[in-house]
Amino acid sequence: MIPSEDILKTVEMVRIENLDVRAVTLGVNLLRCADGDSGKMLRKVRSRLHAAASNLVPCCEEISAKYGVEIRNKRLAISAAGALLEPHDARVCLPLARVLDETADSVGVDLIGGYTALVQKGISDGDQLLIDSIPEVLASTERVCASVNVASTKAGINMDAVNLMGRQIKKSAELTAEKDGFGAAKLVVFANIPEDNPFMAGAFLGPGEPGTVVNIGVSGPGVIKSALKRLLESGEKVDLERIAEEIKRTSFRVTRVGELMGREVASRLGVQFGVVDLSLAPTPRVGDSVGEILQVMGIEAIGAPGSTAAIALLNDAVKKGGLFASSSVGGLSGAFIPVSEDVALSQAVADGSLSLEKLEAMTSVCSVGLDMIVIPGDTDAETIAAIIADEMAIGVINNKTTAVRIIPAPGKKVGDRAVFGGLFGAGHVLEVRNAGRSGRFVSFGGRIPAPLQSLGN
Amino acid sequence: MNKDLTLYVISVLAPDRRGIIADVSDVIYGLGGNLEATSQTIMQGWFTMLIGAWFPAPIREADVKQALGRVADIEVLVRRTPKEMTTAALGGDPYVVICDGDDKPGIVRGLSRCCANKGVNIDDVWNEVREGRFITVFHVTVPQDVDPKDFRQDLESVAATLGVALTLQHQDIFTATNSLQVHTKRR
Repeated sequence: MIPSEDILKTVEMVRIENLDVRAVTLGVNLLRCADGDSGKMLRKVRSRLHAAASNLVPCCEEISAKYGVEIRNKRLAISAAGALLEPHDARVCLPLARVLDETADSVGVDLIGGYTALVQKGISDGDQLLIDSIPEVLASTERVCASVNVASTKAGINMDAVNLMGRQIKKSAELTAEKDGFGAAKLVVFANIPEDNPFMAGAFLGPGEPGTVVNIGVSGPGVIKSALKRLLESGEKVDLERIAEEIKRTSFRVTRVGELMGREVASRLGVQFGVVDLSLAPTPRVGDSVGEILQVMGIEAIGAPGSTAAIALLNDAVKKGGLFASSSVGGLSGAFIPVSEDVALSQAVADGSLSLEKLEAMTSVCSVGLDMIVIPGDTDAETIAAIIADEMAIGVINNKTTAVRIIPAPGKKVGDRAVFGGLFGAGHVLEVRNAGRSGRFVSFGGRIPAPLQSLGN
Repeated sequence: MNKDLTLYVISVLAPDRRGIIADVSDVIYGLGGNLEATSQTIMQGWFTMLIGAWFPAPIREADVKQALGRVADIEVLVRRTPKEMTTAALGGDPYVVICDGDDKPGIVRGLSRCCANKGVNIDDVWNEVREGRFITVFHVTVPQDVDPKDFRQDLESVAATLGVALTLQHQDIFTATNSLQVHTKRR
């Protein structure tokens, strides 16, 4: 019999500390839908997604009720859509995106990822079509999320793709100017894109994955924060090693929820269970913030010296605790710092304590990159490309995933506020220092060669 | 177990003090008894203990009661337990009902009656009053023919009448978050 105190602790995690399963993402391989006849291809895509996903939401709701833990987001991740576009022309892109959007709506999921191109070494015809269509697709659909992998430790950084993405991010924001550039919030540029990531906007089903698979994203920043507060108020003599230990233990509990519920979702849907992604994913709610954890750890102003060390400790301890709690771990796995989606990080930008440069430093030791950062709408495409290049370099050299999801909010200047709503939150515009002064470097194009780390054999 | 042995279940109530378990087990040992299972708790300063023990055939209920009665301040109940009385494992899924709200009479009564009406067995109950709030935890087995959704609805309607917060959660969520096992060991 489980002691009542332990039961009450778990109940408190759910009721008060916002413990939930952040995302159940069903990966669906659409390669079997490839067809030179665009009408046939679209019909096959619709039918395949319906067949695979129609039971996803009811199943998640049943399991959520059984365990008393909310599954906050139910989502779809398809195999990279660029492959489906190979035999087609630009006229097929938007219809494909609309089919994805409508099908996602009809099966009740809020987002569908996988409008994706993998171009780290070169750009195929289908991928070029896909990238060219991204701004219009993101402006014309509600649920479709796009991602482009422009770099990897094995291939280096495709600077032609980086330049292209600088322009496409800007265009995506401009086409959704009435929503503060929201289109760019559904677009992620990656280095070392994970093939089993359940989190949006970067989820897609990678090659080598099963035909259909359930991946789970856990969360729980509020749980970690409360555990640390209790520890610090307990009167116990606490040092950073003890703090790391407490995070590790709490992360174990949080991950177990994902492991238990994810496996049951997969089993009921009759598909393979993929991974638990051990990420601390914040939401704009107070008490569900990674930034608040740093504050409890003694970083009064996020962005102050020590912030990078604190997030490194947090990121590492989360992984260590989670790793033991699940037999299958993957995805991004780490602490996210999506600025507009995290109430404390967002406030730190408003207060002026958190800069783009400090965020960049923090992303070198945590997951996942420059995420949900609003920059001035007049930032030029070359500067955006240069920001991407810097972040990609961190990923490529450190053999880790990094990403850029920045929103050049049209008409907004430093200090203005952009509002995206829902889980995407709201954020103040962050200054980009030295904008317009790296155009020559990025315009060389070509490829930054793969680093020495790629020659590990 | 040897057929010349008899299983007795013994209930003991005494003011809590050091040495009480030693005194009780001395008596059982002296009668040639062998412990099968014990469960004890302390409630409001009272020591309570349930003991299942095998005794040689000549020992009767009255002998056990009389011998234990010599332990200071003790109250004892002894019952011979035929083999057919041992509870068959109940089929079903283990759930936990957690309820908390302002302390008032009738909460356990309301919830337990709801369980009984649904044919849900209560395996264990724990209650405590903390800062004026009454917290109760029921470990229950929901039989296969009872839909947990219906059971939850019934419980929630009782909880609403009582003005208390209630959750019904499968026990595995507590096993997974508090132990090295992911799933509860089934009986």
